[in-house]
Amino acid sequence: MYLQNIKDQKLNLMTKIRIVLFALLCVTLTNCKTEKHKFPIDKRYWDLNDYDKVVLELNYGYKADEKLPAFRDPETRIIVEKLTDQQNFNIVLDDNELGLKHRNEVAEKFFSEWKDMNNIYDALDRKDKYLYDKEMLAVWHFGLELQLKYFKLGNDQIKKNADDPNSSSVKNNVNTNVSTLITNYLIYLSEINNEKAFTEDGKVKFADGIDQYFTALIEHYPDADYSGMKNKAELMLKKSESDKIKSSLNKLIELIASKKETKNN
Amino acid sequence: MDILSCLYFGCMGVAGYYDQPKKMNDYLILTLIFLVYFSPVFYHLYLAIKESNGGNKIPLKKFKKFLKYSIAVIIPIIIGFGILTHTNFLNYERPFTFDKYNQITFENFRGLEFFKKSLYGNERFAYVVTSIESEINHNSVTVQSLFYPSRSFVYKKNTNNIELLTHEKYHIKITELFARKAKEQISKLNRFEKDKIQGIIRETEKEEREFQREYDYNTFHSYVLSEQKRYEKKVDSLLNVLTEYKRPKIEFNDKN
Repeated sequence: MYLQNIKDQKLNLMTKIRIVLFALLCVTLTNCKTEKHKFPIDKRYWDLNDYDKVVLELNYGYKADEKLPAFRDPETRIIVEKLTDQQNFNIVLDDNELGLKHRNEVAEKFFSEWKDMNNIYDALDRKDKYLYDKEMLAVWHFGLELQLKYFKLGNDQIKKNADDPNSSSVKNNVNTNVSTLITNYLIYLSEINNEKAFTEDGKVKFADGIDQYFTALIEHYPDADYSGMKNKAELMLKKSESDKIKSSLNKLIELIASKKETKNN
Repeated sequence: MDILSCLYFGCMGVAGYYDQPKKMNDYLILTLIFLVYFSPVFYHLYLAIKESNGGNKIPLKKFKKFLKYSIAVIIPIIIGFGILTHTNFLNYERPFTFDKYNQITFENFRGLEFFKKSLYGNERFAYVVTSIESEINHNSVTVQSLFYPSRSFVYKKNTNNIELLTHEKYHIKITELFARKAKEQISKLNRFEKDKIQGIIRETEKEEREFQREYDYNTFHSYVLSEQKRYEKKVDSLLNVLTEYKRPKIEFNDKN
């Protein structure tokens, strides 16, 4: 009987110890906080590996109704700022110490990342208003600047690799690329069709994009054919109700006309 | 490649679902090791508390014995681990003076790294440990830069990452540059003054650390190649200017 009591006591004790150890383990595991979304915000420049992870996280790591990083949120503002920081690609693409081929490869990969970035902030609410218009436009501006660099590097490489950079086939390829670039820029102007989806601040930011990036494009390729762009700008001018956007479109039309005039003279 | 990418939405790829792997926290691993290692101690502690009410002192003695042996075993392990993290004595190589600079390759980076797995998410990283060593004698001062192979680390010894090696080796050059700067200032002293010499060395060490940080920040650990090249030119040119302070020893005999 005494031996049986001791056995029972030991069994009881072992069970209690197991419970205590299990509880300790649970406490340890639950105390280890794992952040839901991780971004390398301390890193000075985001490279392609960072974009790979961040873009995938922003595209697929958030639930449908979960708040995305936004400029208006002081806690997550830094994430959008880092994501759309043009220095991330400029630091490589503008570095003349790096080889042209390498920079071109990096530009191509950044361009591919940017294509995926376009899906992050394009959600609309029930009134067909953009939920994140300023963030979406920041992504757009990132892409417009990137394309300007990317297409220039690509064309430089075509000329460098050609036996005769002045041959008609090389010139034709370069011109085709410039036309593609212009056509890509036109997609930005098409957003004026969704003008009502933007907030007033968004419209101002959109107009700033025309002023800054379209001017840079035309200054960069003054001899290119901008008739399609002029036509599109004129159509959008009729459609737009925003004074700021209208003013930017007028400036763009004038700039194209002035370049054409200079070319003809 | 002739024609660049077409309209951006025309080239859209299909991305799969991305499930970010959850890395196990280092603290969690350490806590688990601690718990498992000390589990017999906890067991005997529990027994001791339980039995102490009945006046049974044997479990308490057993607990103390287990605790003593557990600590006696873990402390040398922790110390050994700490020593190896600081300097890899299992693969030791004496510190290099600057005259052996050209012989340095990643083969000389013999340090062990148990904790740091990446630098800004990049697993291909290295670090170098250098110092300005000084010895003040009766009428002479020896100042020289040292590179510590057994404290310097590279993720893979046979890597052919020349840019990374160049970046790390310029850290060594920067240390040498500041050692020469210190010798330049010491040489300009009118007489041997130990306090002033110590002050110069301390100040130079501070400036050197600041410059090393600035070098890493501006080159972003060699990522920004144009900045890397700018620093290389600057450091090489300054080292050339201070060539006369190449010798480690400064004698004060003729000045007294």
